[in-house]
Amino acid sequence: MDLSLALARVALGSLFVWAALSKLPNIEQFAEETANYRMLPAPLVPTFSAGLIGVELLAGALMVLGVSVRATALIFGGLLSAFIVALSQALLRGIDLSCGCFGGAESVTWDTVGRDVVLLALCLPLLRFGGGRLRPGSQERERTDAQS
Amino acid sequence: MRWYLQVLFIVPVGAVLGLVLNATSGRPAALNQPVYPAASSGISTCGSSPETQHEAHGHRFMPLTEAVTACAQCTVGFVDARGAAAFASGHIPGAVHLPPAGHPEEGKTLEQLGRFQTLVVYDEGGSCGLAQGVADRLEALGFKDVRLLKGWRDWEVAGGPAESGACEACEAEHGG
Repeated sequence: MDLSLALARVALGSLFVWAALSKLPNIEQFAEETANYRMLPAPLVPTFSAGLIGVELLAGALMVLGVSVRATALIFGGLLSAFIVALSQALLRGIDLSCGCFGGAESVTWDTVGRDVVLLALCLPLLRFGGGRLRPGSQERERTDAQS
Repeated sequence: MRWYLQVLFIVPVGAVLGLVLNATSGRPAALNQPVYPAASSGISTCGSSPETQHEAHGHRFMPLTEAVTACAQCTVGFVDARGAAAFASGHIPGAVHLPPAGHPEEGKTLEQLGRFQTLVVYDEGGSCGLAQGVADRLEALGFKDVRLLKGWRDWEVAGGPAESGACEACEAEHGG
């Protein structure tokens, strides 16, 4: 169980770190893709986009390292829920846009929504049980995290 | 500190980190400038002032009159980067549909385009960035002369020839 949780958090954290790093070279483009979802007022889009990348990067790194795992799982749960709503409303409104998820030109489809639902499901055990441990030596840090 | 209170620390620190990283990015978002939606879709169109943007992205811009002539003489390959619905409702005759994310029969489409020395990519017009994305991808795939057109809206306004109908790959994908 502990190993499964640890692997889940490393996988999830790495994915968010990768997502953030892939957007960093061209944040301007990510802001355009964010705007295309038509969910935010235009003046907020660039600041929100840049801030989101930072949150993904910091929370992802913390999760990989096993620090504040429950808090980061809660953040990812919130982000993924928001992504699911954003993607779904775009699909339902017929907005043809690229996802902006990993810095490429991936089109939004219901598969994209399904992927986020799976990731959201991955957050739940981490939220409930914490991040597990990859090796016995990390017990102490895990305990501290659970108590705090 | 309770674990859920850590969220109140991580989120703002992460957001500030993002703003710092934005300042160091190769292409940062302009924080003091609003960004408007520009996706091509069945329910919306793109913004305005396409020419400067297309030129700024490093692709040569083909003037509308030259494109109309090239279309009549079939000397260039036109690539429509808009969504499937927009393509189906009207496009430049002979244009192939290739959205930024590609489609299942992309190989066949690229084969068709291989006949042309010059490709001209267009989207709705304005700041969509769809044509830009496709042009970048085509260049990465080895096409040497990839240019951008001002946009479908201007083509229509200029009275350029048009045809309608879904692309084969889109029809196959959606069961049409």
